[in-house]
Amino acid sequence: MPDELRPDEMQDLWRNQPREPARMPADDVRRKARQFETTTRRGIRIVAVMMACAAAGYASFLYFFPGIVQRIGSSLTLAAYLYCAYQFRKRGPVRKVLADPPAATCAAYQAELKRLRDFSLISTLMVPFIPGPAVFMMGFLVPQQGLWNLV
Amino acid sequence: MADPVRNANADQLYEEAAATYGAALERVARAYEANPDRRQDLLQEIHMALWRSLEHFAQRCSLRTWTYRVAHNVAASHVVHRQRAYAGLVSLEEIESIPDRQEGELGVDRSTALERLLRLIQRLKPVDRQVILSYLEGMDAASIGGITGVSPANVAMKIHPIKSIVARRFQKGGQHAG
Repeated sequence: MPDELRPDEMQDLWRNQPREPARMPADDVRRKARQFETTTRRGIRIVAVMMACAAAGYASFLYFFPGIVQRIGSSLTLAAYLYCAYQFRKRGPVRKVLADPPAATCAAYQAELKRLRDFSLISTLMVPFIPGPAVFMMGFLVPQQGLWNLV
Repeated sequence: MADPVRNANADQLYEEAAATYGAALERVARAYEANPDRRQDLLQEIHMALWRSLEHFAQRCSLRTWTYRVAHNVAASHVVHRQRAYAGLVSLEEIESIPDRQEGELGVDRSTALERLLRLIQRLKPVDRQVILSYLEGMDAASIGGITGVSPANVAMKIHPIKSIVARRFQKGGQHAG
């Protein structure tokens, strides 16, 4: 049928559609920034509670698992939790979005986004947790007697 | 401690991607969200995700493929999260059986044709939508596969029916608006 829309015309129609004017009133910027702030704050709180529970668990292991290797593992893990708590305190807390002029709000929002992006979860929060649990688990594999002989 | 995979030029790459593919990202948002306010939010989410993702861009694919992949992933999640809207979506195979009220109408102008094309796309399930949108953006089967994860053979199988549906439903003849 000659009157049909050809595939190249379909692509042309799609790619040359009129663009919508970008609009972002100051109140919208603030709303987005507050939304972001709330979500991030909630996320950080959840992580903090989970970390506190896990740290309490490892602290109790010091009592329940008297083996020296397990104790070293638990202590290393607790040290990792302390390090994380310090990092959160230093870099994690979200700054409150104030009702500043729009440009200031935008700049603050952008700075906050950059700060959180640069707060690398992998290097800051994961790496310190590798040695502790590994040593702790090793405590179950290495016979205590043999270890004392090594020491 | 520095993250070894972090891309030092992330901000520069983002600026390049936003300048080059900004219009295409708007079209993606338009294809996934009909409501103008939610569409603005979705577009911002896409830009935010792109900005963050470019930190880990290791140039294993082109910036174009990466940008589209991120945009489609964010938009598809947006559709899936809005479950009520998701429930009404259909696959390419099913859409052929859904009647178009204006089917066969002669002299459809450009803006009406675009609206109908959008309506058709917005009814598709995310994976089919990704394929069709990439096709409409002028990508080849290999690039579409890179974005969507669908094999090039399956891409061709998905594109063919939509071409025939559109050809049948959209008849040219009206005024071509700028």
